[in-house]
Amino acid sequence: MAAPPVDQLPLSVPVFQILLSLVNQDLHGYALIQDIEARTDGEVRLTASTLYGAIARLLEGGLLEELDPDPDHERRRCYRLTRGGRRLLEREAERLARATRWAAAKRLLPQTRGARS
Amino acid sequence: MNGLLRWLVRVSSGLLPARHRDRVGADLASTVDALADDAREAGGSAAERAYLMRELVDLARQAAMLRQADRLPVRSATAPLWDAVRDDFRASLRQGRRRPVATLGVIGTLAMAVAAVTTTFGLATAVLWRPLPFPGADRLVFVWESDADQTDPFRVTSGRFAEWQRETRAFSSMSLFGAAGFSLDGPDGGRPVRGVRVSASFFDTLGLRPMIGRALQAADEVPGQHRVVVLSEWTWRNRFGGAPAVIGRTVRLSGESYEVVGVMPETVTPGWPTNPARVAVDRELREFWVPIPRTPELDANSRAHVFGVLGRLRDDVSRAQADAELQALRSATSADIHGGVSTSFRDQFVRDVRAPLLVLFAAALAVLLVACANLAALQVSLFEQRRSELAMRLALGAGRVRLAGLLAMDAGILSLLGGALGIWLSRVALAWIPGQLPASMPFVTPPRLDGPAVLFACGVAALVTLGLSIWPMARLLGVSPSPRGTALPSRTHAYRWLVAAQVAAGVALAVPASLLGQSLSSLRAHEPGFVVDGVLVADVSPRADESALLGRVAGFERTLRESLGALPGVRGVAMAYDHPLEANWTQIVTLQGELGTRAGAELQAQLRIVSPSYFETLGVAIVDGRSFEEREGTDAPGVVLVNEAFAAAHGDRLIGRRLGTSAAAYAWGARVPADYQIVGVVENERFQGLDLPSAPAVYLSTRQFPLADATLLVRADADQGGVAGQLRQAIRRAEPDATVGQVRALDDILAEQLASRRVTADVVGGFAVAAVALAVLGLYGLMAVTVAGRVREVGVRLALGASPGQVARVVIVESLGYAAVGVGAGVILALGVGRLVEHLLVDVSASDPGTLAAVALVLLVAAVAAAVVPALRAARIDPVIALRSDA
Repeated sequence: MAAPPVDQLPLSVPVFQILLSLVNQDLHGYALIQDIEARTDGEVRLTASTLYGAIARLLEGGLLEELDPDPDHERRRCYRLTRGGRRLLEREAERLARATRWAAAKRLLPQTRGARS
Repeated sequence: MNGLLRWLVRVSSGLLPARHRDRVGADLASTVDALADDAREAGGSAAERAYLMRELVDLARQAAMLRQADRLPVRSATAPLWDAVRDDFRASLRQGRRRPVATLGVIGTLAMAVAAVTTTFGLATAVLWRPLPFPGADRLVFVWESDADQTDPFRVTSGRFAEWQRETRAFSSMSLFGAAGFSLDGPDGGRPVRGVRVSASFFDTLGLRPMIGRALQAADEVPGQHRVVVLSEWTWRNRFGGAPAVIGRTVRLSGESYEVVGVMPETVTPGWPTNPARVAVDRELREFWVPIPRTPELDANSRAHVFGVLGRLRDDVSRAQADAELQALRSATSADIHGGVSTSFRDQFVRDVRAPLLVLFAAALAVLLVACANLAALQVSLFEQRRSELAMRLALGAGRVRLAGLLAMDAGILSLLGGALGIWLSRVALAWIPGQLPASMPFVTPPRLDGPAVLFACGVAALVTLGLSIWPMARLLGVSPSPRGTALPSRTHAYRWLVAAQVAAGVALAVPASLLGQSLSSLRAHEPGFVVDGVLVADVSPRADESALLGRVAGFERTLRESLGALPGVRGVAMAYDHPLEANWTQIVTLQGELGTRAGAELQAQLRIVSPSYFETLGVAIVDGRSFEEREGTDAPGVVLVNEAFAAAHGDRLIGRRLGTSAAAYAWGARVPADYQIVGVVENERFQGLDLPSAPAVYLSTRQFPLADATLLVRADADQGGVAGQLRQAIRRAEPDATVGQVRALDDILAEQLASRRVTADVVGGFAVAAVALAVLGLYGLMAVTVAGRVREVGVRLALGASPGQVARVVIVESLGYAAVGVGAGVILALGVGRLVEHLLVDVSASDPGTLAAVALVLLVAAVAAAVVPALRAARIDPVIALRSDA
């Protein structure tokens, strides 16, 4: 179960989803889990352990940064995407898009606009 | 449950690598709580539980992954103690794996020793210590009639019981019980069954409630309404299919209809009362209970000593006070000579086995101690081998406590494994052993591995751990660390003492084992006074109306003799009330004086009623006078024979004197002679067991005193199995109505009577062999270590001109020296242990010098043998190599 370095493609599902949720907002852990679940229609449901396991590694890899907790409002720490994190996410998204095009070329996917053109 | 899971998740977050945990741990915990709350809201506690389980699994996975990524050893910062324990555990396992044979040997030895003590503890608990299954069981006593000095108690008459009930106030209730032998009538003829006839209050006195139906009640004692029966659970399950519908059913017992009114749970209820003052515990002797009809004759009968009495003491009365009251009653009623004496309920059953059980338990403990000494010695020698390693660790800054923990862990793992295996073994043994013992073994509660036994075993294992690690620990804690690694000088004094102690314990076990073995074989060599080989016995009864009994009985016996005597291989046929290994009838007889002297000395004697062919069939010699004659029937003048013991006790010029008995009361209405003339003296039969001398006995003839229930005795010289089969058929042919009990060989009955002695001797013998073997192993180990530690010294000696023979001799003499110290201490111990087994011994003294010498010799020879290999090794040491080594 040796974990690959967190910044190596392809990204694991939890890492990809966490980064994706943080693209335009800063969220704390619980909100992240809820956001991911809502965004994926319940398909990806992280446990707290998986989430924080991934966050720990992302923090260490400099892909996320933690914000100081706002004492008035929220006890829990929020996380923000770093530039490195954003770049990594973009590379993964491109990789996935390429992969999707290849699959579409074999007509594995339902017809999409991209395939029709 | 879910709370526990939440807690578990929170605690398990400690598994994350510390720096991650510090960062996200708190948030993780609060998020888990929030998610768990969500799950509960959405799907109840089942969903919450499912979520928490997922969380736990993921947490473990994440922790492992993060650690793997860090290549960090798995180590929790919150539990350094646990880490240390786990490391020690692994180190111990490594130590153990490095020497698999030694480790398995240690575990095996421990397992056997723990199993031995736990099993004997379990047996002793079942018999001696576990509370009896009755409320207020410590108030329950049996009451017997006795002589003036309250020794030699015997069975009670119903008249005396009535008097006790009337006159005493020590008892809150008292009940009568006696033997009830019936024939259970079925489609394929009758089968003898044995139950107990009791006062209606019997179960109330005992405090036993029926499992179905009712117990007996006062109305059941009214003559005419007394044909009701209460079954034992065993009978109900095995003979009546265990259906509750049995209540109200009618069973035919010896031709009479009895209504089943209840079933009593299977437990230790008193069975047949036998002489002298015993109560059977065999399940086969208490298959059912029937009420004793209360008649004026019953209350007035002061002759038939056939009953036992169960009493419950009042709460404020001690047994001694009750005994005093029973004795006082005796002087108040001057007419008769008997007082009363009580025995506690448990004592009544277990007094014969208490000593053997305690001996077994003590022997098992001794084996355990030897095993511990052996293993401790092994630990010491291992410690000596590791001492430079340990000193190095100390010098490098290892904590003493930590090192001591390491040593304790070694011992702990061994005793844990050995103990667990031992507990399992004793569980198996406790389930197996009761089946191997005779039915008369008084398991007043069922033997099983219960809480106390497991606790006991755990305690033993804990003590073993302590015992095994305490010496090395003491050494470790008593020295100062030194960078040179020599702060722990070699010391084997403790080792030597331990080995000597093993030898001592070996002797202390081997001596009583040998004494018990000798007692058993000398018992077997005792002349029983009758032939045992080839004799078959069976209870038979000619089922007849009481009125027609006399005629039938005489004919029955004749028919059986004729038809059985014709079988091939049968050498003799006889009938008797008791077979030669039974003595169930004690009777007061009046011996008339010689002509001209005063008449009528009342004496107590065993009454034995036998057919004229008995003495010849069983090889009992007539030593004086003559035997019975076939033609001496009820019309002829009464004749009686006495045994040598009677003659020895009451004067040798007995022939021709007259003897009266009141036994006629039991002659089933037959007209029997009122008094008898002594016509002969017969050889003593050891009918009370081979270990007891024959009591004075008088013999009446079945011709003059017919029996409705008798024992058939057949002596055959062909193979007994064949004859036993034909016997039953022949009886059926001759007397279709007769009931026939189990056909058994007298040999087997004798073996059963000796079973408790045999088991004790065998088991103690086995323990002794184990202990001696361990002691020899210990000696061998000591000498091997000694030689290994003295390579240099031996090398110097050899270099200075000592011969290899001299070197070998030194080693052997040293081994003999340790053994001699052990033997000396062992002999003293054995003399002490001897007092424990003293009254189990027959024809041999507890301090028998021959036995002591023989055992000592065996141990000394063994000590020489144990030293041979190390001695040879020493003799072969090459001085050149030895002097170069640093040992």
